[in-house]
Amino acid sequence: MNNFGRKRTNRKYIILIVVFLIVFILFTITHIMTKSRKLNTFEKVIKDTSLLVCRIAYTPIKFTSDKIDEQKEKKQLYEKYKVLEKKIKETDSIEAKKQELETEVEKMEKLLELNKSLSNDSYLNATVINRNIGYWYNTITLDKGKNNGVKKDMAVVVSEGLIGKVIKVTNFNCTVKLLTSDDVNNKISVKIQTKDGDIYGLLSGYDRNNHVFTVEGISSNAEIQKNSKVVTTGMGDIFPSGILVGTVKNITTDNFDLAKTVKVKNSADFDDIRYVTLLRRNSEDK
Amino acid sequence: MSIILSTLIGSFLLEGIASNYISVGTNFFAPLFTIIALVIVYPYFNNNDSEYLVVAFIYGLIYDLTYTDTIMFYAIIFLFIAFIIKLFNIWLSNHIVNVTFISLSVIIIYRLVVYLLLVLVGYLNYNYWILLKGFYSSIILNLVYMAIIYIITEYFSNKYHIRRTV
Repeated sequence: MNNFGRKRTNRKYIILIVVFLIVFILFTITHIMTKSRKLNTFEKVIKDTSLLVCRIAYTPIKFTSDKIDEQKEKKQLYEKYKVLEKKIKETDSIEAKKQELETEVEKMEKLLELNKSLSNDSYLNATVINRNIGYWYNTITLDKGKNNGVKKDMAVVVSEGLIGKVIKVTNFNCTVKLLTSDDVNNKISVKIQTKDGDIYGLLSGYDRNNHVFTVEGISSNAEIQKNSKVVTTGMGDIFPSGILVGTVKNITTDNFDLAKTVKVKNSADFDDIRYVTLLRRNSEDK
Repeated sequence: MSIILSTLIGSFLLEGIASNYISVGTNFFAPLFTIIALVIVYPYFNNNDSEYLVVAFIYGLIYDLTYTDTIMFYAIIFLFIAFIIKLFNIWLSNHIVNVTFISLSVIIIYRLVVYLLLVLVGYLNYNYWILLKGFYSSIILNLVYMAIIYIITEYFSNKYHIRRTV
């Protein structure tokens, strides 16, 4: 009887320890994943060293794939030349228009005594070392870090538009969270450029099945046309304004007819990101 | 030891390189080479389970720091996966059919555990289809990789008479 009682008590202790361990592990993981944690020196050194090895291993493969791409590009050269020739003819008129607009902005800035413009930014080019497979492909690692002037929260773009922001920085590398991230906290202020003016909303998620972003928080009265451009607003001090996110693909109204939800087709190809540009607002330096 | 090290390091680097060529959306080729490497190297530890578990933990820790910027998340998961592999190897011999079965099971368990943990801590919203896609997207490429690595390691261990649990 005593042995039976002791066994039951032991089992209770074991269950208690297992439950405690599970709670502890979950708590630790929650803390690691959700808090904006800075990497310590040990983590930075390990990360930089292992990424250096990854970069060395990746170099010959990247060289070969770049050469293959180069060959493909060469084949399409003549068609591209024709398109560019046409564009060059249009450049003069665009240049003149741009100059006029710049003068206008300058005058307005002086008038309003603004010391910063939201779209004022400088550039830094970087190469993707790897796509971090851990969190369902939500992040990428770049070959530029603190030593190159990279800072947390810098916007990351490709020629087609915005792709994400810097979340972690080490001395020689940085990690970028992509807009396609499933992270529930990944929300960005955007505006839809319609014929009647800009309509503001919140880019709140990515639908992986249909490959579209969802923009919420739009009044049901707003008139939105398909194929309207969606750009960043510059609010929130992270993303500069006017960076293309995508174009409107579909507009739906909620069940209560109170708000519209807009599906936006991304302009950047998230499947093929090799070279990116980091944007830094000049206002950050002031 | 050389087979263990070269398999682990090679798979680790290959996973990073392969990730650059994997699309975010629909694909059937999500690389989990590090997990496959853990399955392949187990027999080369010759029943030294504690050493195997320690190696898996360190391997996960390096994976954490290199690919995900977290600490301990994958270290704990790799340790758990190594424990599962150890259990499978108690019941099954080191034959390519068994190794394929172990790899398949481990891929599904790994995907399930990672996804549920990320949902539990509030990092992801639960979506049955994404979880299902996580399973089928990982199977083809990783089983092909497993077959290649198995053949290579078997070839070298036979050639240089490297001892392993059969």
